[in-house]
Amino acid sequence: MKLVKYISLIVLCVFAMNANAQNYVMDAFTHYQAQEYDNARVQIDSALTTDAALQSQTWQLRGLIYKASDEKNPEYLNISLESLIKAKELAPEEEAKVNGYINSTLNAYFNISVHYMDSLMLEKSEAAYVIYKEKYTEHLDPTRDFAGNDVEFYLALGDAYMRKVKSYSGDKKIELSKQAAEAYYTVLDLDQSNYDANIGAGIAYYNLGADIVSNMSLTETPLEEIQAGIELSIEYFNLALPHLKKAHEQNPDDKQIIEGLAGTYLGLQDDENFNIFNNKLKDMEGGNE
Amino acid sequence: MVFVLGAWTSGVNAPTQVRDTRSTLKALYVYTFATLIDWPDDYKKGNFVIGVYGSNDGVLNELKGKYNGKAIGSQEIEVVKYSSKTEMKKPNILYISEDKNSQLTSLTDSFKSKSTLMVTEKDGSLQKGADINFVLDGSKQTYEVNVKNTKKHKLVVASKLTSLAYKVIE
Repeated sequence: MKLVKYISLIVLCVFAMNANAQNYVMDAFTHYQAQEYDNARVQIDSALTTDAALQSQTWQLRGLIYKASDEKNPEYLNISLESLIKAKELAPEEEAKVNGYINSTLNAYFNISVHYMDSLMLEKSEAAYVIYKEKYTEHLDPTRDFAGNDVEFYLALGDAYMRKVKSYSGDKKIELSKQAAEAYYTVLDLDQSNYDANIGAGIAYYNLGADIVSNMSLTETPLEEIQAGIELSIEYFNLALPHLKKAHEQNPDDKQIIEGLAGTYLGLQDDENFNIFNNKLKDMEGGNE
Repeated sequence: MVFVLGAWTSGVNAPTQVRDTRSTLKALYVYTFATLIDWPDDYKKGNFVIGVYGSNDGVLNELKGKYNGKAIGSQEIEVVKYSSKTEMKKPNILYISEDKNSQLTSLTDSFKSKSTLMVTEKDGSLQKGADINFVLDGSKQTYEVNVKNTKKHKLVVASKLTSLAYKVIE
């Protein structure tokens, strides 16, 4: 219904323009309705060379056309956003309505981030999320608190890195594990006791320590590098420990955490604690009866 | 106008498992020792035998899985599990796990005229005739070397191996 009302507004405004301007805007609008976005873009951009460029509705239509053209194309979204901002400048009295369109375009930036994450293009996903937040605060609501969104996003990002890790080995695997840990740390900076982030960070660091040891055993590693590698793996095991312990306090029955703790203590050569958690695992698996 | 927001796929952590990094490191060290020690000529024929005596299946499996068939010089590594002393002929390396350490004195006696590198994993083993013994430096897995014993076994140890050892008995 809102769209129908909007169409009438555009038509009314078009009558206030000269013939050339009218033709361009009306053609753009017709193509837009028919979802012929390539033609719609050509017409609306041509309209900007006429006095239609002085009308907020022209810019609003341009914003809608560019967004609809390809919601996964940041270039088009940028043009959409710029157009809608211009539309707001030309008609401050229509701010509420135009803000609705701006919100829609901003949501498309957010959806690009989701799309990249689903495709495990994770650096691009994070970059798109950051752009979404920047543009949201710049153009819509400078006071919005993104803490809750950040927790959700960076948890999902950490988990996505952990999924991606499974497809790699060697140095790339280590790099991805580090990126997972960084994502979980971003969550822990916002919420220290976040259960999922503690598990994630603990397991990411545990895997890092264990992967360093595994990688050394797969190549001809000089003795001095073995010893340096051992020291580095110990650093990672020590980083894993507090997170796994924290998560274990919160959920003592999570097998994944117990496995992580047993492995971490084994890596730290702590037999006493290794045995405690290894026995818990055996109990869980019915092996200690 | 309806705006559809995507949603994150969350809550999926990579499944972990208890990875035996301790055995991985010991096996790696054993292989590296083999590359840094020179054996007499009569031990450079046939396969390069690494024998494991005792219940440390973690080390045995790591050695078998990662190093069996690799080369030391012109020799191919052959990893063997020994169940008794009678099975041991003249391995290049004999890894004696902790549960068999009580037999160390008799083993070193049996091997005193041979050029077998005796590797152990229990404190005090160097004094009982082992050449290299695994020890801990805090949480760090390292090793100590008894150069006197290696000389008795006619093994030439690279200076790097002794210089990076936790302790060296001359």
